[in-house]
Amino acid sequence: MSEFSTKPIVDLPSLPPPRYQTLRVIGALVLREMGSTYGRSPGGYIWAILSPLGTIIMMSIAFSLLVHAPALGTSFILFYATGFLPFGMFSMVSAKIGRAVRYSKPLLAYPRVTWIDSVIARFILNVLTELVVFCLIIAGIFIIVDTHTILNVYSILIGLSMMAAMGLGVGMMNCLLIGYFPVWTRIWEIVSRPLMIASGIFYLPDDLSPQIRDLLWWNPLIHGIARVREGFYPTYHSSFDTMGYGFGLGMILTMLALIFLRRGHLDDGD
Amino acid sequence: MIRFKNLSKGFRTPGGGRKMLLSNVSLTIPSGTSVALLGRNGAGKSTLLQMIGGRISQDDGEIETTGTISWPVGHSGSFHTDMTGAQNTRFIARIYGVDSDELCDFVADFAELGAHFNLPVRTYSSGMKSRLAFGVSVGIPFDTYLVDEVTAVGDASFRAKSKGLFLERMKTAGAIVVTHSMPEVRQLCRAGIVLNNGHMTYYEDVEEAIAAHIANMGVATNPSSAATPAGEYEGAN
Repeated sequence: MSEFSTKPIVDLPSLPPPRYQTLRVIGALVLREMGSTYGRSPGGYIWAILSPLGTIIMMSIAFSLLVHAPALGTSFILFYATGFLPFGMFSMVSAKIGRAVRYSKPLLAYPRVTWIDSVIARFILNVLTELVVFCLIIAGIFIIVDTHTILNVYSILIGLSMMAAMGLGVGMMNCLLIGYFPVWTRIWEIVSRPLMIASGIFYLPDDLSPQIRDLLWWNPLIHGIARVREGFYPTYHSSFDTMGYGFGLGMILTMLALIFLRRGHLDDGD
Repeated sequence: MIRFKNLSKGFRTPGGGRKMLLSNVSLTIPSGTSVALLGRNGAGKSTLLQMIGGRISQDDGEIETTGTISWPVGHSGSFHTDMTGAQNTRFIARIYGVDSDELCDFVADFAELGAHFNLPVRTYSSGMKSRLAFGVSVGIPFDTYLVDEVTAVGDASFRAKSKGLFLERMKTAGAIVVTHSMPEVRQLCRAGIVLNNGHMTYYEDVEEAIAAHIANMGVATNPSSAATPAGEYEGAN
């Protein structure tokens, strides 16, 4: 047994102590995801920005042919972008997190990577990506269209964070439900379809009839989008700008998902 | 050091019962020891390795570990196929905080991939993939290596080279080795653990472990022919 000493290897670097281990893993996961998403397209991760940019330009052209005056201000593309981009923040974050655990399952073979790391990494990367997309598109609109807008950055950031919080909550809940019932992927696809229409992207919820308004009030995404629009249109004061509802629901969903995911359902294999 | 404290693990059988792979096992594996994990097919060897790696959780009891523990050596299932061998290597280097360039240099040289190292893994042959996987696992200086049936990687000269490097590692690190090849057990391991009907016994001498294992198998013939066919079924995975 004497030949099995525990002195460090001389010719090869020894492993550093696991300091900042979680941060290091999250950083590595973010870089890995940037390298692998759109890994087959030339240009790589730049498509994460180009793809929503193209979508919004095409949709704006199509809509400007149908609708002439937006519900707020004079520029249809700005009105549309202030609804579509916050919604994109929600849908992108929730979709990516919803698939995070499944996507990173092979990585769990490395004892250092935990499923929560992959959720955090995806949240950070996608929130940052959506923020960059948001800034680029809004800046582009301001350069091309003279909108005379006075921005309320605080209100815009609150609105966007609300969408991100809801994205996290819904994404993690979907993670959990898909883990238990794989058919939930299909069900959610169908159930979430109307969200695009019911979130006030193309119209102002305040202009609708009282019955529909009361029903739509329960959609937390409407509140986030209304917040963002208040930041762009100083004269717009929505009745849909409750802060606690969107953040609260997002946090409750996240917490519920964390409690159940922590109980180890996920690492029991398939 | 790896210590099992009252460890239990079972899984549901199709008949509605519960088969116990481990029932209330307590055992300590000292640091720097290379141990063979022996047992018949489906005894739970791979499951135990995955539990040590933290991938599968135990039903009851504790696993205490000191030092760093590798993922199963040669595991290539975690490579992203759209990323290059170099990118995959860098990712692992970042997770473990080793110098990315050093590890890349080492793996590129060791795995003999040539220009393929900078091409997406999806273009690799299965031999190239396993050489890359082996290079990355052994390129990182872990305290304990987990080895699950890593035989027949590459051609004879590559096998000799990788065995040499692995034995070099074993001078300073420990390992837990699952294999059905008794010559390999003798070559790689000093001690042995025999897993049988939910119980584990630790033997300081690997020959004693092999003898006990063969007695359990009910084969009293030449020990070196006790290798069982590959493609074993491990129930709980």
